[in-house]
Amino acid sequence: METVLRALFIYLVLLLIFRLAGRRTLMQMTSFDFVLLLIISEATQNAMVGNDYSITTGILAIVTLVGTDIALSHWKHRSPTVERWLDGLPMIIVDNGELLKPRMDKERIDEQDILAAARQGQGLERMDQIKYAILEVGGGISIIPKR
Amino acid sequence: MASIPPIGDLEIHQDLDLQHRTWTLQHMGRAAMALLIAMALSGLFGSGPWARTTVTDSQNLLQIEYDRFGRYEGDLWLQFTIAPGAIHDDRVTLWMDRAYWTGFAVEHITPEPDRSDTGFDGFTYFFSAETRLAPVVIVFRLRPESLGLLDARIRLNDHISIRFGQLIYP
Repeated sequence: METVLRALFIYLVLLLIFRLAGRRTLMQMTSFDFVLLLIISEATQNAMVGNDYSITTGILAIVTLVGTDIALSHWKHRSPTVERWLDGLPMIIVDNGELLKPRMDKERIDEQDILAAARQGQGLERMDQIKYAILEVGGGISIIPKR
Repeated sequence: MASIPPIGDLEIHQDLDLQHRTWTLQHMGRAAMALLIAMALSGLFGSGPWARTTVTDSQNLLQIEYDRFGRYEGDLWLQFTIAPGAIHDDRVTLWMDRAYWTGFAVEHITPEPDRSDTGFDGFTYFFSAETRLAPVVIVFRLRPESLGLLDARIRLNDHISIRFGQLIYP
């Protein structure tokens, strides 16, 4: 029982922390972000299984995490309100070529992030080629070019 | 399925009200995380300036240094300093209340007791103490196995008692 409760608690705490941290956290996946993610997973593992290294405990923790994730995705699918609060909604950050700075600042996005997304996704060269930039739920930036 | 009202040419489900509320909650949450870190640095979760304290009996014969806060299955230690005036017949006996002591696994005792007894209300440890000049120091290294507020009741040589509280975090 303890393993299931520990895994469930860790899942909810991680969900809360990453939601509070904002959707851009760990999104860029620099090499340091990758190392940070590994360190977090190590700390999480210790909190979940303690000193018990048995296969049973490992399987119970994995099943609890995956099961909770499935249950939560069902809940989000049935309730748009839950989905909005847990995942957020997309948000326009460039509107007809105009940078919406207050929104960008709140989400810690600068012009360079938008230009990088435009280069990577659309092969665009300049800001004036962008019609819309949208901060997606997952933290990525999608670009709609001017036609 | 209800159609999504377009914003400009975009069919996008944007809700700035929700976004503003989310930002407010995120600011509050980040402040709470900063507070948590400050509390941890001050020792309120164990290991820090506020983490350890001492308690002494009214006659100043027994002093116990202990951790105010512990963590489940973490490390804790209790240090007993016993004044020479409290030692009779070259022996020291320490009695721990059963409800308190069963919340711990005893990892190590320095020095090793000569023997220990289990009574109906607690556990007693017997130590040899031949010194008459310097205080006797006994250290228990413990691992908490229960959670919440523990009420520590400890007696030295059956007549000096000390009581204090410890909080064990999950």
